[in-house]
Amino acid sequence: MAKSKIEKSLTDQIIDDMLSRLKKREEFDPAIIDRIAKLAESGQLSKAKLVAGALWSSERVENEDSVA
Amino acid sequence: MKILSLEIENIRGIKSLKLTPDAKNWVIWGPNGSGKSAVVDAIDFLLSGQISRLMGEGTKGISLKEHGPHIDADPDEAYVNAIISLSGTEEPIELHRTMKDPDRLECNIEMNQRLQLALDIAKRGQHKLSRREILQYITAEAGTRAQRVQALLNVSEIERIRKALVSVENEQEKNLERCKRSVSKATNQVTKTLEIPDFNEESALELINNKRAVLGGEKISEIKHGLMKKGITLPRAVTGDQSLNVTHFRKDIGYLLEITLDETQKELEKADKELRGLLKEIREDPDLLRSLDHQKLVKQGLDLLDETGVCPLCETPWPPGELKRHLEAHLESAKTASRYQKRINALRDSLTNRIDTIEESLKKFIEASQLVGLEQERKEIAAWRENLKLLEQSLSEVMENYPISDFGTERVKKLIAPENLLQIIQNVDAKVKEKFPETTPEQNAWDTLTQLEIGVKTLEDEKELHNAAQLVCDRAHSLSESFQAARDSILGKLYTQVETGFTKLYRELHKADESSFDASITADGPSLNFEVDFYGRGSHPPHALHSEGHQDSMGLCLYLALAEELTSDVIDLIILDDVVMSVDSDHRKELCRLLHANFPKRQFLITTHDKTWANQLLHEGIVTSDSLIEFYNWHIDTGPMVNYEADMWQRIESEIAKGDIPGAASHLRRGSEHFFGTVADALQARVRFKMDAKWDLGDLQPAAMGELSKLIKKSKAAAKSWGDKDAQKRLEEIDSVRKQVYERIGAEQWVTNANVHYNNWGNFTENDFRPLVEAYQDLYKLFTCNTCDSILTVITKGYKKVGVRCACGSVNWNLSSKE
Repeated sequence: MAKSKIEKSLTDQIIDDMLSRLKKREEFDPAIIDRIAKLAESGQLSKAKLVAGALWSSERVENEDSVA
Repeated sequence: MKILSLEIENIRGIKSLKLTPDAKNWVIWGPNGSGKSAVVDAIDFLLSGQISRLMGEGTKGISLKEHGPHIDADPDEAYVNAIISLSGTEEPIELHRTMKDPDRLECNIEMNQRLQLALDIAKRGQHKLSRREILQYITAEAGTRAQRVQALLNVSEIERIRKALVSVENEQEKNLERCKRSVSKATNQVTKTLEIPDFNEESALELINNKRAVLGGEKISEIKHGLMKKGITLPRAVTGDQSLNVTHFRKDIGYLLEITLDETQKELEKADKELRGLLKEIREDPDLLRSLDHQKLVKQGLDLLDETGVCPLCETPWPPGELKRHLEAHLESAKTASRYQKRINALRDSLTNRIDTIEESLKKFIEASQLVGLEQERKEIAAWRENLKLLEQSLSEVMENYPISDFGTERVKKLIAPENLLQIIQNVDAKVKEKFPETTPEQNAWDTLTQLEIGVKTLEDEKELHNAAQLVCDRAHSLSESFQAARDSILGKLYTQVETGFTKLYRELHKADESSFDASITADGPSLNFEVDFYGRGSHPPHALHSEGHQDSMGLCLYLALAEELTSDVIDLIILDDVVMSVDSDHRKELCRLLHANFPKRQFLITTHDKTWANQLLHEGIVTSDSLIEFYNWHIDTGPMVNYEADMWQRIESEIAKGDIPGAASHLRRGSEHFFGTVADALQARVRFKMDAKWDLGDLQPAAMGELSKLIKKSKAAAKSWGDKDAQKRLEEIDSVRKQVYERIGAEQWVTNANVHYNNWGNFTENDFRPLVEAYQDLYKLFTCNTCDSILTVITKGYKKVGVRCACGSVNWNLSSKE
């Protein structure tokens, strides 16, 4: 079967690229990247509250206000 | 995905229609209002559950449920059924959808990824192009064009994600600001408890150890909340109520009274007035506001620059140092904005610090009022405290929220303190004196250390929170930047490919007049810039200088280039719904060749009201005669009236069978006039000029026949000069057939000569007319390719005829002899 150049949607291609960029950033540990990848997979990367939650996920200090 | 067969029942203007394109290109032609676009609507509905023409701007009051079914038909009687082929799936797939349940697609196989992808593409409308859409690509403003192209690319989801990530970034920045202020507030509280003007670790430690010494405690070497009272015990209480430390209470009174001092009043008034003035100036100057936003972005860019000089946002390479200089120049121009921002922050901090200073004292004063039972005083001070919180809140988002209309300059000057503050303080102080004894130095030291214990703990917690907020803020920046860089990179590549594809197609289509045409398609923030070269005289928007016909062909080429990137190998069907209205005949011919050469794997459905274009598509080999469908009329009771056998010969045959010789003769004459007109044009035959441009068969047929004889002769001579024996042999055979056919036409000369004019064909009997038809069928074959059905065309170099070819390349005669 001929492989189409559009097997992956543009959004998925962008997210793949973004995740590989994040892996090079020292402020991101694998657990956070994993959470972001899961949000993307479930189509929830456009939900600001969930994204903020993922960014705070590995911090010991809970800050409810900041996850608004 | 290609369509093998299509069955439409009661959809839009169609009552009942069955078509079998059999995965090949097909053309539906007919006058306006004959129901052509209803076929497009039906395919749209089948694949997406929607009819795009019934949606969007200007469709208020129109609904799929009410206006999707053919008039008077119930939704359960309205359906579309299709057999399709899908690459990667062996067996044909049957799809079925009814208006009764438009969200449900019935399919005879289990839904697979490839089919889902094809349906997603169809839902976005990526498989079809109408004239309305062409105009949206070409004549729209950059922002609107971006929206249209992005809708086709389905980048709305990408934009939603970007907005969410920017919102997270902004929210975390605000949180970091809040955390910074909390650290500052906690630090102020500690300095206030220690009665020092500014926090200094060394002097703070000395003062703490002094207090500890009063209670016999050893020196500590670092400021940690757990060490404040380490190794010391609560001093034995003196007599009387010890629930309030009178010494500390007096200090708090001192802080509150400080607000009423002239010096403080002037300082507050000045800060508030200046802050209001600056904010007013900024809000009234959009350029200044924009500069403030840009300044942040430019600073971030400068921070992220590395030695490669590549733009950290879009990865565009810059010569070394160039981007840095560019950004620094921007930053320089934003200096005014920067000065405003700095001053506003300083004024905000000065007012906020004042509020912080009295916040804790107010809390204690309220407790004291309660302890001495002065309820009215307690209420008034509590109201003051609440007002201060509102003021602090407004200051915390100073650019957006300061000042609140409730708090005029006069009120802010006094930090909204009640008018009778002095009286309230005197009342509470008098009662405190009566009720509570003076505190001992040991008790004071203990209470101070207790306050420090709490204050230092708060400071430690706030610092920890601040550090976490800083880290999360950095993450939010990185996430947003990485997403936008990834978006720019992926979309940038896509736009580059589309730009290349578009330029190539447009050059091919206009090779005679725009062979060095160039174009640029670039994203510019939320806009999509599209500029085209105008005959080497610079780049301009596509609708600025080019003619309407050129704009149409640009829109078509842009769409085809986009479709190639977006739908290739998944949904091979491309619907061109009446899109070449303004393209002239010569360019339509080129368009046929372009479709042939560049899109051999596609299945085109082309609708048109233009019979000439429909015939061109047939003669250029884009469709075969059995895929040319004519909708010759429409009636509300029947829907489109379809001539399934739009092919002239089939129609003539059926008319002969019905005994309608005049009808058959009329079709033969009109059809032949069109055919030999096309042939004369393709072979560049010499036809007698007529001012009224009304050439008849007597003008066109002899000219075409004569030109073909000359071309074969010339080609034979060329083959001989090159010693090409195979070509010679092939051309001899062709010429021999030509002579036989010409002889047969000659044998029928009595019907085509001037004495017995073809106007009289209608008076023939069937026996007279049939040989004539057979002779013409063979004559037509001499001018068409056996393989692709296209009409043979002369190729020229300048004015010189150098070859004869068909669309597929099976016919390829050389006309240039060896010199």
